[in-house]
Amino acid sequence: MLELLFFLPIIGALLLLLLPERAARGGAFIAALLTLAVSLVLIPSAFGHSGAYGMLSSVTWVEAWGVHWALGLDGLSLVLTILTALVTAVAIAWTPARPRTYYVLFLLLEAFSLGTFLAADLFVFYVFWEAMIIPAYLLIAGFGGPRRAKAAIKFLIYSLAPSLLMLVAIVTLGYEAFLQFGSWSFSLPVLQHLVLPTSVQMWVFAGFAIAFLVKIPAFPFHSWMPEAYAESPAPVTAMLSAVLSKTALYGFLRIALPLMPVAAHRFAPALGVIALASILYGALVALTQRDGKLVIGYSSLSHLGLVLLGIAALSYTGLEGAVLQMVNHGIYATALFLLFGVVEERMGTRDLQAMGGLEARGPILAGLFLITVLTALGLPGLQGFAGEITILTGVYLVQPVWAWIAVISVILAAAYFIRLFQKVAHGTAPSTDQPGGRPEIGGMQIALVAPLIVLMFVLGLYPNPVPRAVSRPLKSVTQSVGVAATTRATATSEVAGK
Amino acid sequence: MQDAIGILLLPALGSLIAAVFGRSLGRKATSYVTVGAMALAFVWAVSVFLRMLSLPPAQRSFDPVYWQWIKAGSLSLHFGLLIDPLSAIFLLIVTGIGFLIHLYSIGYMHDDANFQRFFSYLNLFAFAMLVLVTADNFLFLLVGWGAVGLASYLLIGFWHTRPSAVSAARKALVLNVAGDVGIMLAIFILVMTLGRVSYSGVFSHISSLTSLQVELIAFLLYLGAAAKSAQFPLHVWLPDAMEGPTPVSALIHAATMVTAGVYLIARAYPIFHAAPVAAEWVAGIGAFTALFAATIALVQNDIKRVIAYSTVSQLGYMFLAVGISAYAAGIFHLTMHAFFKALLFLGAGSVIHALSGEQDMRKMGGLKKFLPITYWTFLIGTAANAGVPFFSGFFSKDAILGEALATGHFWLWLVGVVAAFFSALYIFRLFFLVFHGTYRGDGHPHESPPVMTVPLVVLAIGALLGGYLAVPGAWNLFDQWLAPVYSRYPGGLLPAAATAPNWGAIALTSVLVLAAVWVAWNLFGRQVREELPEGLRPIHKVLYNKYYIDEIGHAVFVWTVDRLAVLADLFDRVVVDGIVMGIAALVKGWGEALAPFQSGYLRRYGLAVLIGGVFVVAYLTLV
Repeated sequence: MLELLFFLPIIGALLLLLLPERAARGGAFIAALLTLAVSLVLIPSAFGHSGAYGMLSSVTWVEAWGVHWALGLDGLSLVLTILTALVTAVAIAWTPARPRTYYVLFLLLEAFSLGTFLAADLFVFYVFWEAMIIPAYLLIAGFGGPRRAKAAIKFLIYSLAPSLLMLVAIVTLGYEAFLQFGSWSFSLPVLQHLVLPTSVQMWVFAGFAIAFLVKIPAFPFHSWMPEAYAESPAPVTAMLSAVLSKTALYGFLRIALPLMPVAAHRFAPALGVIALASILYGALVALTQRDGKLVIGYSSLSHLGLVLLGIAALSYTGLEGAVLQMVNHGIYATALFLLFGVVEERMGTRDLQAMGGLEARGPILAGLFLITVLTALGLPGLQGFAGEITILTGVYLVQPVWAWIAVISVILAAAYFIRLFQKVAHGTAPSTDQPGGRPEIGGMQIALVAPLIVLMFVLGLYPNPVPRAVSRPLKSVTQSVGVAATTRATATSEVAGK
Repeated sequence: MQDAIGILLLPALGSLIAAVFGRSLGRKATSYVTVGAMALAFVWAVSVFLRMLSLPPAQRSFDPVYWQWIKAGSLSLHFGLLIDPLSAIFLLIVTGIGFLIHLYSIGYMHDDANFQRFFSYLNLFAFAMLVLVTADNFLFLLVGWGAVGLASYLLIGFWHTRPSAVSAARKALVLNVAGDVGIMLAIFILVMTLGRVSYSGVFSHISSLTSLQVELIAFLLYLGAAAKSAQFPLHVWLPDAMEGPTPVSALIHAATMVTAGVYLIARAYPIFHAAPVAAEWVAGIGAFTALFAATIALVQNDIKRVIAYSTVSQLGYMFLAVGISAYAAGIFHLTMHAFFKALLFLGAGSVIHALSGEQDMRKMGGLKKFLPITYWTFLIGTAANAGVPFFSGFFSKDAILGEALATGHFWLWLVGVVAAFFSALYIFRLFFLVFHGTYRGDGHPHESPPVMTVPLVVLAIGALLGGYLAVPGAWNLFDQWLAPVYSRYPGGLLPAAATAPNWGAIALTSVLVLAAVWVAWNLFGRQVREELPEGLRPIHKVLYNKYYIDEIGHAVFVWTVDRLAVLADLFDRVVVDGIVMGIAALVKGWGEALAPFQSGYLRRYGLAVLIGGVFVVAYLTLV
C-alpha cells in the first residue's frame, strides 16, 4: 500500500503521456484524487503497529552501501501525506487547461514530496529531496511569469548548494553506523541507536539545518523566495509554500532533532533567533509589498518562522503546535495563493495600488478570500489560531521571552492581511479589469477550494485530531531529544479545570 | 442547562443562512430568518433566566461541557459554557437589545443594496458576543473576543466604498487585535504557572501565584478589556466606528462589543482582587476616561460623534466601578446603559434617516414637531444618560459614585461627579440642538416607520423604569441576583458600609446634573450661540480635536512601524538579495572558470556534486 501511495502519481504521470492533450487536466486530477483516497485509506495503518512506524516496507536497494528502499508511515508522516495529496488535488486542477508537461511535472512533484515524507531511510530521503527540485525548477522555468528565468535559477542554486552539505551529513551518519555497528546503514530506526560524539553531532546537525532552513525558507536564507513565489503560476506557488516548505520542517522533526539531540540543544538558541528574525522580518516586509502575492509570500516567511520557533523551543507542546500549524499553513496558504491567483487573473494585475472593488463585483470570491485571510491572520475559532496558540504556549513554557517577541507578529499579521484584503476588495475596480469578463470565481474552482474552506472551520473548532495523530511520533522525538526541556510542561499538565 | 448552547447556535445559523442563501431567499425572507433567530434566542435566554430564577441561589451556576477542543502537551481544553447569573444578564442584554436593533435595521437598511449581507453580519456579531459571555475558560473567551472584533470590522467597514469607513474598520481591527494579544499573553502566563485556563481552575488556584504574576496577568487582561471597551488611550477606534450604519453603532455601543471589557473584569474578579495595583489602575483610568471623553463630547458637531464619546465616558464609569470591586454596580450601570445608549443611537438613526443622512447638528434643530415619537423617546434616553433623578442612569451612576465614596476613593468620586455634570451638559446640548429651536436644514424631515419607532418605545420603557431594579435604601435586585457569583471566590463582595446609600452625595450629583440641564437650556435650548467668547477658543480647539490623541498615536505607532517596514524591505532588496546575487555571481564565475566548455545548470550541479564528493572523501580519510 505504501508503494502504491508513492507510485500512483508516477503511474499517473506516465499514463498522461499516452492520453490526448485535452484529457491531461482530467487525468491528472483523477490521479491526484486516487492518491488522496489511498492516503485516507491508510489512516488506520499508521497507528496499527507498536514499533516506530505503524507501517514499514523495506527492500534492500544497494547492499554494499547498506541502502534500503524503505518507506514508513506513522502519524507524523500520515498528516503531511494527506496534506500533500489534498493540496495537490486542489492545485493541479485549479487553472484551465495547460500543456500536458505541466501536469506530468506536477504529479512528479507530488510523488517526490510524498517520498520525502515517507522515507524511512536517509538515502531515500536524500534522493527524493533532490528529485523534488527538478519538477519544481521546470515548473517555474517553463510556466512562470516574465521573469521566470532568473527566479528558476535562483531557486535551483539555492536548493542544490545546501543539499550538498546535507549529503555530506548523511554520508557521515552512514559511516558512523559502519564504525559502530560494522555495516553501513542509512535506516532511520537503525541510526536512532547511534551514539555520536558532540563534535560530529554539531557538524552533521549544521549540514541538515542549513539545507532545511533554505528550503523553508527562513531569514536570512529566503532570498530565492520572493522571485520564485512571484513568478510561478499560482498552483505551483501553492505547492512550494504549502508542501515543499513542510518537507524541510519535517526534516527537523524526523532527522535533525532525534538523531543529533545534543546538537539540537546546542543549536536551539540559534534556531530560535533565526525563527524570531523570520517572524518579525517577514511580517514587516509583508506590510510594505505592493505585489499582493509577495504579501502572502512574506506572511509565509513569518508564519513558518513561528513553526520553526515551536520546534526550536524543544518542548512537547511546541512540537505539537508546530505540526498542527504545518497542516494549517498548508491549507490556508494553498487557498490564499490560489484565490489570489484568480483575483490576479480577473484584474490583470497583482499591484495592490491598482487593485480594488472585488467585493462589489465578485462577492463570492471576495467572501472566500476574506475567510481565508481571517484564518491566516489567526482569528480565534478558525484554524490558524489553534496552531498559533499551541506553539506560543509551548514556546512560553520554556522560553517566555521568545513568546513575548513572537506575539508582536500577531498584531502585524492583522495589519498586513487586512491591508491585503482591503486593497483587493474595497474601493473601485482597476482599469485593467476585463470589462466584459466575469469577475466572479467559477463553480469548478468553488468546488475545489470548498474542502479547504471547510477544513479551516473544522480544524478551527476541532483541531484535536492532528495532535492526537502525531502524539506517538512526537513523544519519541522528545524522548530522543531529552525530556529536560519538557519537565516544566509536564509538571503543569492537567485537564484544564475539569 | 445543557440546551443553552442553542442560544448561541441560533444566530450562528441565521448568519450562515443569510450569507449563503441570502440572495436566493430575498430581503424579506432573510430578515425573517435573522431577526427570527434573535427573537428565538431571546425567548430561549428568558427561559434560561426563569429556570435559573426558580432554583435556590447557590445552585444557579451551570458548566455544561460539549467536546474536547484540543489536547496538545500541557494545553488541554474542553469546549464548555458557563451559564450563571452573570452570563444570564448578558444573554438577556445581547439577545434582547440585539433583537430590537435587528428589528430596527429592517427599516433603516431598507434601501441598501447589501441588505442580506448586513443581516448576516449582525447575526454573526450577536453570535460572537454570546460566545464571549458564555465561555467557561479564557481561551474560548478569546475566541469570542476575536470574533467580536471581526464582526465589528465587517460592520464598521460595511459601506466599503467610503474610504473613511474602510480606514475606521482597519483601525478598529488592529487596535482590537492589540488587545487580543494582551489576553493571549495572560493565557500564556496562566498555562505556564497554573497549567489551567478554565475560570474555575484559575480562580480557585490564584493563591499559588506570586503577587507579581497576578498583577501581570491582571494588567494583560486589562489591556484586552481596555482595547475592546475603549479606555483611554485605546479609545480612538470607537468614535471612528460610527462610520458604520447607525444600527451597528447601537449594537457596538450598547448590546455587544464595548461591554466585553467590563464583563471580562467582572468575570475575572478574583484575579483583580488579588492584584490591587492593577485594580486601582482600572478604576483610575476609568474615572479619567469618564471625564476626558465627556469634555470632548461637549464640543462635537456630529450627532453620532457626541453619542460615541458619551459611550467612552460611560464606560469609564463602569471601569471605575469594577476597579473598586463594585461589580454589581458596574453591571447595573452596564445594563441601564445598554438600554439608554441603544435608545440614543437608534433615535439618532431615526433623525439621520429623517434628514436623508445629515449628521451635523448645526443643520438640525426644531425637529420636535416633525419627529414626535423620536423626540419623546429620545428625551427619556437623554435624561437617563444625564442621570436626571428617577431615570435609570441616575440610579446606576449614583450606585457607582456612592460606592466609590464609601470605599474611600474620594478623588475618583470627585472626578466622577465632575464628569456627571459634563455628561448632563453634553447630552442636553445635543438634545436641544437637535430638537429645539428652529430647523436650520433644508430637507423635509419625516417620522420613521413603525418598525423603527417600536424598538425606540420599548427601549424607552427600559430606560425609564430599569433603574427601579435597585433603589437606594429600599431594595437592590442586582446585588441579590449577582450575589451567588460574587460570593464564590474571595474579593467579590463589598463591605456593608459601601452598600448603604449616601444621601448627601446623591443630592449633590442631582443638583449638579439639574444645573447642567439649566446651563444647556440657556446656551443651546432657547437660542443657539454661534460665537464663542474669545478666551474659550483655544480650549474649544483642543477639545474639538479630541486632545490630538489620534494624531499622537498615529505619529508614535503608525509612523514607527511604517519606517521599520520600509527599512526591512530595503534591507531585503539591497543587503540580503545583494549578498546572495553576489555569491551567485561568484559561483557562476568560478563555475565558468573551472568548466569553460560546459554551460547549463545541470552540469554545474554535477560539478557541485563532484566538489561535495571530494569533501566527503577528505572528511572520511581525515577523521
